[in-house]
Amino acid sequence: MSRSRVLVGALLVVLLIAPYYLDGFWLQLGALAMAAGVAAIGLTLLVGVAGQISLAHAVFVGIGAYGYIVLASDSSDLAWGLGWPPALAALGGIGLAALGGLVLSPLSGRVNGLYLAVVTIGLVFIWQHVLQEVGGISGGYVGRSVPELDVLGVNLGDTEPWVVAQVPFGAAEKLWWLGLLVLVVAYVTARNVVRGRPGIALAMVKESEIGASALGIDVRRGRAAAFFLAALYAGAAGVLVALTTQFVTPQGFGFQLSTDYLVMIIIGGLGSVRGAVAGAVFVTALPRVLGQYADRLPFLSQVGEGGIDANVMSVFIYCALLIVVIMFARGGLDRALGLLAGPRRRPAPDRAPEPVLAEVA
Amino acid sequence: MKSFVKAVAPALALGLAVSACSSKADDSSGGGVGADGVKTGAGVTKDSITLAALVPLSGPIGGLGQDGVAGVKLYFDKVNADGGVCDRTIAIEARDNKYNSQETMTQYTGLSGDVAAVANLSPGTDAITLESRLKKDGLAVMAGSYDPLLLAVHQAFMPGTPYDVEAVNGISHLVDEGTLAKGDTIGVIAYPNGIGEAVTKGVDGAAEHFGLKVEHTKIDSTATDATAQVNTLKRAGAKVIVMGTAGGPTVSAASVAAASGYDVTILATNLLSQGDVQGAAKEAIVDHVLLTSNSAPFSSDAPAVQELLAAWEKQADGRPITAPVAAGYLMAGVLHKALQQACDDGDLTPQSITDSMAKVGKIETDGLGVDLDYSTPGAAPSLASFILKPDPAAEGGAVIVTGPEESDAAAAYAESQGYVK
Repeated sequence: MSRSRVLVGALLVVLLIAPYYLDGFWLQLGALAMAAGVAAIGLTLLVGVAGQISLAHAVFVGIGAYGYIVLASDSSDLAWGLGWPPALAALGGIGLAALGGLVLSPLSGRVNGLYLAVVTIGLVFIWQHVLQEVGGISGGYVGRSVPELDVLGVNLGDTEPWVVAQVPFGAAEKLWWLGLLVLVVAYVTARNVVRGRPGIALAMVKESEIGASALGIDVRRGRAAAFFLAALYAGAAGVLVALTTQFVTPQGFGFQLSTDYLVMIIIGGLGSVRGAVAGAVFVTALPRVLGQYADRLPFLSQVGEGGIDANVMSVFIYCALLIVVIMFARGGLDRALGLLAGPRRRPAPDRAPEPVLAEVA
Repeated sequence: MKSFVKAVAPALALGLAVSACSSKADDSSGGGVGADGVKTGAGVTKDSITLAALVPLSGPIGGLGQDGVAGVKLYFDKVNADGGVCDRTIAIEARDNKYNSQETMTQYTGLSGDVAAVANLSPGTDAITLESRLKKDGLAVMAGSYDPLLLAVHQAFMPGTPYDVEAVNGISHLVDEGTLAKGDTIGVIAYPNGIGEAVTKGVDGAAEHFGLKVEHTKIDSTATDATAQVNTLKRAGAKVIVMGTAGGPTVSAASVAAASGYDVTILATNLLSQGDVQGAAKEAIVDHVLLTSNSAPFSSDAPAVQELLAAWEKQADGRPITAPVAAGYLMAGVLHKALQQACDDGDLTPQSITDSMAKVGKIETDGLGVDLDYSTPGAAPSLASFILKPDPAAEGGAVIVTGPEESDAAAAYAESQGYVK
């Protein structure tokens, strides 16, 4: 048994039992990091594997979140709601996001590279404007509360706490487990896609469109599929984010979120699935953890006294770490994880070895 | 795969066994009764009371949040020097929400078990986001916003008159002065968000009361240039423009009016900084702008204002005082009253502090702001406003014209909106 398997197994066990020990802050942070991980995997499939830069990822995450809320909520004077069973609404939210990806995928057939990036920035601003103007979806500037998830009669919110091994399980603990389950499924699926024929085909499209066509790959379909898959992942992440924060506002799904996702997959190592997850944890958790503990640093001033306090310092530390990782960890966090996992699959582990290309042809 | 299962299964079993003795299992919600017979809860020990400040501390408006926390600390430093509350010193735990509701939620989750109340929440409307959590935790929140929607959140306390009532007071003042008469047109430039929607509602109410015509325009919440809107309103013949915006568009509107020789009064809630009033648009602002406010300008000679200025000067190392300092100071003062009441009742749990806000009755601010009354949950704590005039030479950039006063129109409007109970 390889070292990496032992490590992954141990990590899973730790993550499974973590809710027994962690308090609310850490559970929420973990759930958000796992949701970000799902979204980042989706984006790395699109950007890293298929080579299409998209800054619209926040749009699809938002469609997932608002899709779930609108489908699952009861209608009120202020906002629309269809009152679906929450489990169905969650699938509906993910479906709507995926559909959105499919509808917008022709864009990637027209433009490429940086042009595609700029077009997708436009999508983010249109999306923000829609949320601001259509109060029925977003609940206006105040935002909307998120209905609890119920799967086949099992409540995943605070209304019916479980007691597992004498520990009370509220929404935070349950959502940690749900997030973990979704992340594992998303991870395994993505690895299979990357390592299987579709991933190889997409990598080929990225390297050379003409070459890919010559090998019999339908370039347009491949790109549309990548967009679809990325949006599907984003939708699932959106539902998770909404459930975790219990309340969403339009500003939470803006340009900043899109750039955050891009940062995650870049410091994770473009195209690497495990790197995307590591990047998501880095970007989601680090600034908040630093904010929590930076006040232990002795030379900082107190908040309100002027000068640099812990909160400002944590932003500096986070940004400095970001630069250090990008500059010195070539191949991103993926490479670092590769070293940790042992020498067996060291170079670019999630990309298929070259000779397999011959089989596709 | 089989080997993987083999490896994981025993570890998992071990994990589950370990978890049975998790410390969370015997969690008895904290709190108890101190040696002095005072019931304590989250954030209260035998010698300290911890309060939260949840404001933006980094990023473009981080400075304003920093000042808001400084104001809270300034007040409680004085309280601590006088022996604290219930023989306990007050400590402030400040967290950065980056002006983002989602972040407010995350940070609140980390704070809620460790604090007795929130002394400053900014943006205050995030209390709506937190409503169900606040109810569960029993925490009182001093919300730094005058958005009338906050009145529905009974655990959030607005330190003044709602924006819409303030706009009614401003218009009423202009009618009394003779600037506006029945049949005149009044214009609105509003953000599509909290302050914009509230001011629009207030103007509509006042227009109905005084028989005025209203011309509505919108401005994007990131925009600072109000040229198009002012020109539209000029064509419509508006004699007064009411701003439902932050300071930027107000400065722009005044400049446009001055440049195009448009004789108009621009009514705005006081979100202008001293820098705005002393800047390039100085004359335009003095000629056209009239301000409404919940708090006295720093030029006021009220003893409470002078006391604040003196305390700030001693502590601030030459930094100029700003509006958020005064707001934080005022909110800390209000919360202090509730803490004292809770102490007198022998119960310093979060829910008791919240309930105490209703018990303290009318809170006199000694001229620092409008007087407040939280006796009736859901009612507006005040219906009065200051009317101010920009003055580049004055401290804080404004001087008091009248007030704080509650107009008859405001009383009628508040009645119709259910702000009086």
